Amino acid sequence: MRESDFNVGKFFAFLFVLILFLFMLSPLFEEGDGAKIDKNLSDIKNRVSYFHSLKSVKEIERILSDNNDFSKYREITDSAKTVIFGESKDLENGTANLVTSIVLDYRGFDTLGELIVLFISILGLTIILSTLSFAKFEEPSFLQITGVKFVTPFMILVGIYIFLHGHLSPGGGFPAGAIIATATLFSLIGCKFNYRVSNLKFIESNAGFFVILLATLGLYFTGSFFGNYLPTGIVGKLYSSSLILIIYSLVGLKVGAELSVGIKTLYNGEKDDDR
Amino acid sequence: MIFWIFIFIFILSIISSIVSITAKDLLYSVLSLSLLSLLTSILFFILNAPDVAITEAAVGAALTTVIFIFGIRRTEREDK
Repeated sequence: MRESDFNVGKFFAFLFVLILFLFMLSPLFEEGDGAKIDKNLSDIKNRVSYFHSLKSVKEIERILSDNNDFSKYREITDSAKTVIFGESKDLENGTANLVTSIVLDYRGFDTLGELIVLFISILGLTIILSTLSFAKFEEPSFLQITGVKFVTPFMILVGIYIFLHGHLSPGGGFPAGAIIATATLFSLIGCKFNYRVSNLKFIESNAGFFVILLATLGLYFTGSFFGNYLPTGIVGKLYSSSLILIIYSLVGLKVGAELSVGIKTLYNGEKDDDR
Repeated sequence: MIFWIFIFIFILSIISSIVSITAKDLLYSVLSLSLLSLLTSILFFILNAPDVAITEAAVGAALTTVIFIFGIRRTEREDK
C-alpha cells in the first residue's frame, strides 16, 4: 500500500470488518450458556403465546375440538387475556397480521438472511454487467409515454401503501419493493425517465444500515435480536407495533431501491450514468 | 362453485406450463411462464394465503418476466 492510499475511512472500514470477523468467530471459543436472556423472559411461556409454545398439531386440534372458548388459551400478556380488535393494548407485538408477526418478529433472522441474499445477488449482477454497455432501446411511442405517466404514480402509491400497512393487511416489504421496482422499470422504458443510481444507492445503504441498527438495539433493550422494545400500541391502528412498522418500511425501501438498481443495470449498463 | 373455478385454473396452469416448456419461440415461453405465475397467485388466494399471492403476483408475474425478456433481447429469440 502506497502512502497516498492510506486514509482514515479505509482504516476504520478495515477495523469494522475485523471486529465483525472476530465477533463471528466468537461462538467457537466461548463456553457457557450463550446469550443472556432477561430473568422473567427465561420461561418460554412469558416470551411467546400459548399456541406458539405447543409442539404438535394434534395438541392444538385437541384443544380446539374440546372447547370453543379460546380466551383462556390466549395468554399473550398478563394484562390482556383476550385480543379485541381496536381495543387491546400492549400486546406481545401488536400486529393484526399474524404472518408479519412471524416473519419479522419470531423469525427475524430469516428476513435478515433474505435481505442479505438479495443484496448479494444484486451486487453480483451490477459487478458483472457494469463493465458492459448494451445497445439502446428504441424510442417510446406517444401511447407508451402517456400511459406510463398516468400509471406510474399510482403504482408507487400502492407500493408505499403495502409496506406501510404490512402489519395490518397482507403484503409487506418484499412485494412492495417489487411493485416499486416495476414502477421504476415502467418509467425507464416508457418515458425515458433517467433516475440517478447514486440516489438509489444512498437509500439502499442507509435503509440496510438502519435495519441492522434497530435490530441490534433490541439485543440491548430486550435481550434478543429483533426484539420489540418500542410501545406496541393498539391492535389495528396504523401506528401500532412500532418497531415492525419501521423495519418493514425500511425493508420496502431497501428492496425497491435494490431491484431498481438491478433493472437499470440490465437496461443499459451503468456506463452512461453519473456515479 | 369455487371448486370448479379451482379445477379450471389448475388445468389452465398445467397447459401454460406445458406451453412454456415446448414453445420454440422463447418469448411465448416466457409469457406463458408469466401466465402460470398469475394463475398460481389466484390459486394461493383461493387457498387463503394472500401474503404469498401478493408476492407471487409482484415477483413472478412482473419482475422475473421483465428480466427474462431483457435476457432474450441480449441473446437469441429462437430456441434450437
